[in-house]
Amino acid sequence: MSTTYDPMTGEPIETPDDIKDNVENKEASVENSTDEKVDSVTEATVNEANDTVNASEQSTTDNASTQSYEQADDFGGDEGASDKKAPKIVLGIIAAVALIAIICLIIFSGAFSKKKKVEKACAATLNIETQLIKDLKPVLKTMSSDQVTTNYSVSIDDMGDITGSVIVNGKDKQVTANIDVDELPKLTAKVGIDSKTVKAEIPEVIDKVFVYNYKEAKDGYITDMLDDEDIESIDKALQTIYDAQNSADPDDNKFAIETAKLIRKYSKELQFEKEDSKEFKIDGKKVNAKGISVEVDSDLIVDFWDDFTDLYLEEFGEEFEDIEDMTGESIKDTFKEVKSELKSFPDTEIIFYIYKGKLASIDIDAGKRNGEVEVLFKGGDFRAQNISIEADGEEVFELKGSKKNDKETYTFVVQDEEVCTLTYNTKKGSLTFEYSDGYDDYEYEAKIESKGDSFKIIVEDIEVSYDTYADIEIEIVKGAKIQKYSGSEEFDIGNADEDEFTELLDDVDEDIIDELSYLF
Amino acid sequence: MVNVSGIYKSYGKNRILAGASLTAKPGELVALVGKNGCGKSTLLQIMAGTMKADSGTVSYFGKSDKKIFEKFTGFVPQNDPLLEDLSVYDNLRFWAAGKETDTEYLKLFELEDLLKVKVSTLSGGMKRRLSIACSLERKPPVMLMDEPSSSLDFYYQDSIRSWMLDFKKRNGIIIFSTHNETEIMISDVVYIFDDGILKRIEKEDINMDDIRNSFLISDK
Repeated sequence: MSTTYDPMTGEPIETPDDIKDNVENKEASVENSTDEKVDSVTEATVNEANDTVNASEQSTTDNASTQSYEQADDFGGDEGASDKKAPKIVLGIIAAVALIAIICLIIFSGAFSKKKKVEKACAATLNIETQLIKDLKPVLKTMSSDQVTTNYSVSIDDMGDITGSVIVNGKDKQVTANIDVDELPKLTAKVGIDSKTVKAEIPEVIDKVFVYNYKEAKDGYITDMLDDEDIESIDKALQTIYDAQNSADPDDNKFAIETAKLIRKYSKELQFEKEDSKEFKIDGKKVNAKGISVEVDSDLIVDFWDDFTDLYLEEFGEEFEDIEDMTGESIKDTFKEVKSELKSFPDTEIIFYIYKGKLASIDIDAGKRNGEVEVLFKGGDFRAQNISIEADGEEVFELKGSKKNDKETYTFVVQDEEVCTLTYNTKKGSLTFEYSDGYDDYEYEAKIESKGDSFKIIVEDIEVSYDTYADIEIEIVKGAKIQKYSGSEEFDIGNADEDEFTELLDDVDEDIIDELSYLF
Repeated sequence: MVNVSGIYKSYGKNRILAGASLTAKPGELVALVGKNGCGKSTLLQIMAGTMKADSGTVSYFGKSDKKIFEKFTGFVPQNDPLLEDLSVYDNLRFWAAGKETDTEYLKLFELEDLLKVKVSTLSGGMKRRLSIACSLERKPPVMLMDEPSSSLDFYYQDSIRSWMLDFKKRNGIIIFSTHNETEIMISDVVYIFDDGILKRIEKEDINMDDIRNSFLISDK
C-alpha cells in the first residue's frame, strides 16, 4: 500500500500499488523542459516532476479510492456514497460493536417471553467461566477499592533498578520512586496530590518540598512565566486528577444508573418474533437451534445515541472542556462522528439462535451495502470458549479456546492469520502471551500470585531495546498510607518571587548535580 | 494548503523575521533560499511548532489550533533527531508513538536490513534516511526539511531527491531550505529571504543567476 494525501484536507489515503502505477504511467508521457539543467537527477524522475500539479492531482484523485471523499465529508453519512462494500474486517468490527450495543439493550429489557429467552441466553453465554477470570476476580475487586497501593519494581539489565509505589487513598494520590541506576547517584522521589496542593521532592538533590496550591490565587514569579489562562488550565487539570476516584458503591454512580434507565426505555421499542430453526455445530456435534428475530430500526439507535450523548456531556462535559482547551480535541466532535457512523447503518435484522438456553449464533443482516455478519458460538468447555465471526460467509475473526489438563489456551485469528495466543497454566499461575509484529515473534511470560486481596504479577525478560531486557514486578494490595515528605522546609512554587527561585540553586547539592550532569 | 502569514521573530534585539509569509499547495516542492543566518531554520522551526513566533499565524488546510503541528507536519531538522543509543527499529517505533511501523518507508529508504543496528553506528546518509522515515511515521501531508541533502554524497542526495519528487506526486507538500542548485531547479516555488521577509519566485521564473545575485544585493 502507498500513501497519498487528500488535497483538500491533508488526510492520508492508502492506495494499492497498482493504482499508483497507473498514475506513474500517465505522468510519464508529459514532456520535461528542465532536464538539461539537472545533473544528477535521472531523466525519468525529472519527467515525472515536470507534470503540472493539476494533472497529477486529477489523475491521483480519479484513481484513488472513493473512500477519500467520504472521509473528507465529516457528517455527510452515506448520502451520495458508492455501493462499494466496507472491507470485511471492518464489517466484523462494526458487527461486534453493534452486537455489544444490542446485547446491552436486550439484557436490560422488559417482560415479553421471547425477549426474556434471548436475554437469558445472552447472559448465560457471556457468563464466562475460565480459571483465569476466576483467579483475577479478587484483584479486580481490590483495584476498584478506594484504598489501594500498587508497588512496582523494574530491573533493567546492565542499567539498574527502579522501585516504588502508586498509592491511592480516597482522592489523595501519591507516586514514589527509588532510582538506583549504574554510574548515577541513588535518588528517591515523591510526588503527591491532596485536596489543596501538589507536593514533590527529590531530597538527595535539594532538601526542600516543592508545594503548589492549585486552589488559591498565585502571586509569584510563576505569573510572569505563564499567563493566567495557562495557570487556570493547570489548576483545573490538577483538580480533575484529584477528583478522579474509584467508587466501590454502585449507587454512587449516577451516570451508570441513568444509562441503565435509558437502555430500558429504548429496549421496550423492540419487537421479537419466532424464526425457523437452523443447524449448527456446537461442542463438536450438529444440533438444531431455535431462532428469535428482532428488527432494529436505525432511527432508534440514533435516537438512543442522541440521548446518551446528552447524558454523557451533562455528567462529564465540563471536564472534557478543560481537556479540549489544553489539547484541541473535542469530545463533542467524537460523539458526532459516531452518530454519523450509526446514521449510515441501515435497519438491521438480528436473529438469535438458542440451543439449550445459550446462544448458538447471532446473525446480523445489515442490508445490501454492509452485508451479513454471523457470530458463531461453537462451544467447548463453555459456550463462549470458541467464537468465530463470518462476514458474507467468509471467516474474518476467530477465537480458538481450549483447556487441557492445567492449561487454558486462547488464540486470536484475524483473516486466517494467528495474531496472538494467551496461555494460562492454572497450576503454576503463569500467563504466557505470544504475538508477532511481522518481523519477529515475541513471547512474554507473567507469573501471577493471588493471595486474599493482594495480587502480584511478575514478567521477566521483556526486550526494552535491542539486546536489553528488563524484569517487571507489580503488586497490588488493598489499603493505602500516604508517605510523609522528608524535606526540611517547603518551597511555595505559586508565590515565590524571582529571587527565591534563583536562590534555589544555592541549595542544590553540587556533588549530585556533577554526577547527574553526565546525563546531559 | 499551507498558509504562513506575517511571522515576526527576534532573538534579543536581533530581528530575524520581519513579516515573513508564504503559501504552499498540495503537490508542491517549495525551496527556501538565503544566506546563512537569514532565518530559514527559524521559519521551519516555527512552522513545525518547535519554536514560537513573536507574532503571525501558521495554518495547515485551514486549521490553526494547537494540534496542527503534530497532525500535519513531519520535521527533519539539520541535526538528525535520532536516539543514538537505540536501534533503527526502536527509533521508528518511538516516532510511530506506539502504532505499527510503516513498512512502506522501510523499503523506500532501504532500512529493512538495518532494523536492529544501533543508530550511532550508521553513516550520515543512513541517519538522514532514517530521520525522514521517522518523520513520515505519522503520515504527515507536509514535510519541513532543513537542508535535506547537506553533507551527503551524490548517491544519497539522488535517493532523497527521488523520494521528494515521489512525495510531491502523492499530493504531499515539502518546504525545505537549501543551498543546492539542483534542488532549487526541481522546486515549484522558491522563496528568497530578504531582510526578514520572503520574495516568491514561480517555477517558470527560476533563474540561478538572479538567485545568486540576490545574495549579493542583500549583503550588508
